[in-house]
Amino acid sequence: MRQSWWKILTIALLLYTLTAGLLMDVPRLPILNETIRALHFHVTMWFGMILMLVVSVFYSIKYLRTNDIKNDDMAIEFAGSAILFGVLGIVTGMLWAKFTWGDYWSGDPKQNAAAIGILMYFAYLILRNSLTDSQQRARIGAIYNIFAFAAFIPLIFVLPRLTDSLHPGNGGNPGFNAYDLDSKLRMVFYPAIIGWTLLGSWIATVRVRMRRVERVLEDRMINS
Amino acid sequence: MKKILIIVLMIFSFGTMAQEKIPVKESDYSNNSVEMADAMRADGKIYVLVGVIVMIFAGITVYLISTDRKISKLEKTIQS
Repeated sequence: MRQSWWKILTIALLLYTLTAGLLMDVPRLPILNETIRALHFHVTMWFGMILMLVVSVFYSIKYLRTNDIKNDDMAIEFAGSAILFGVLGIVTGMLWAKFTWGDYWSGDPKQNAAAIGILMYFAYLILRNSLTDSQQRARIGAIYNIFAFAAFIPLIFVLPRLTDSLHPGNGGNPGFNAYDLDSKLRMVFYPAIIGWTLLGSWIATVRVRMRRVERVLEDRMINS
Repeated sequence: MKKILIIVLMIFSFGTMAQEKIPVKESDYSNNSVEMADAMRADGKIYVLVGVIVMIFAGITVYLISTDRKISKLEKTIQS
């Protein structure tokens, strides 16, 4: 394994998240009951998604500045991991919502905004796949990616806060930070964010390397 | 150095940025009127569940590591 120290850190952090997240004492709160532990799994998916989207946008900008296709590899694969996390975030959120808010989908502003955000990123994948020239695909993809991110952040962080939402921290609802202010939850929550984000990054980098190997092989086929 | 300091201070200041808080008190931990998975813990079965989840995670991790290794090998054969 290449550069294995952070991969070992990933495994260690996630093993800690899974065991401590399920076993440690948590506040006993009505309605939430044990589902408060989903903080370490559902909420961290979104944190991981956003952190990886930041990386993706960074490489998109870098691609536009350098025109080096290697930057595009990073942009698309980090976006891919982020989208995977986003889909898992939506699905886990729906299950959690069913047993705490009473319905899988209650048209909550943040739920809707997250769904729109995911669709925007699906469009990113479709847009890229519809272009055959790799430089053109990278260029248009990079520009779309930057705009999508610029729309995604207000969509899930700002707009739901301006109206009533069931999500903590929105529309007069106290944020989960009221609960995770609780140091015992934080002790798992923060390592969990880092762990899940690193896992997504690991998957992304493996796929980036696969792309690069494929490219070298293709070039050799053409040149031979 | 300056950057690191700013990041550290920012992390600490996030705590003060939150809006109205519902503080979690010690009593919330001993509040027995709220149902929790106490029976699961009492029977010791929760550890079985944790074991199952850890095993699944271990399986996925091993698979990811082996994929990583395979690509490392490919990269080496391409360079040579």
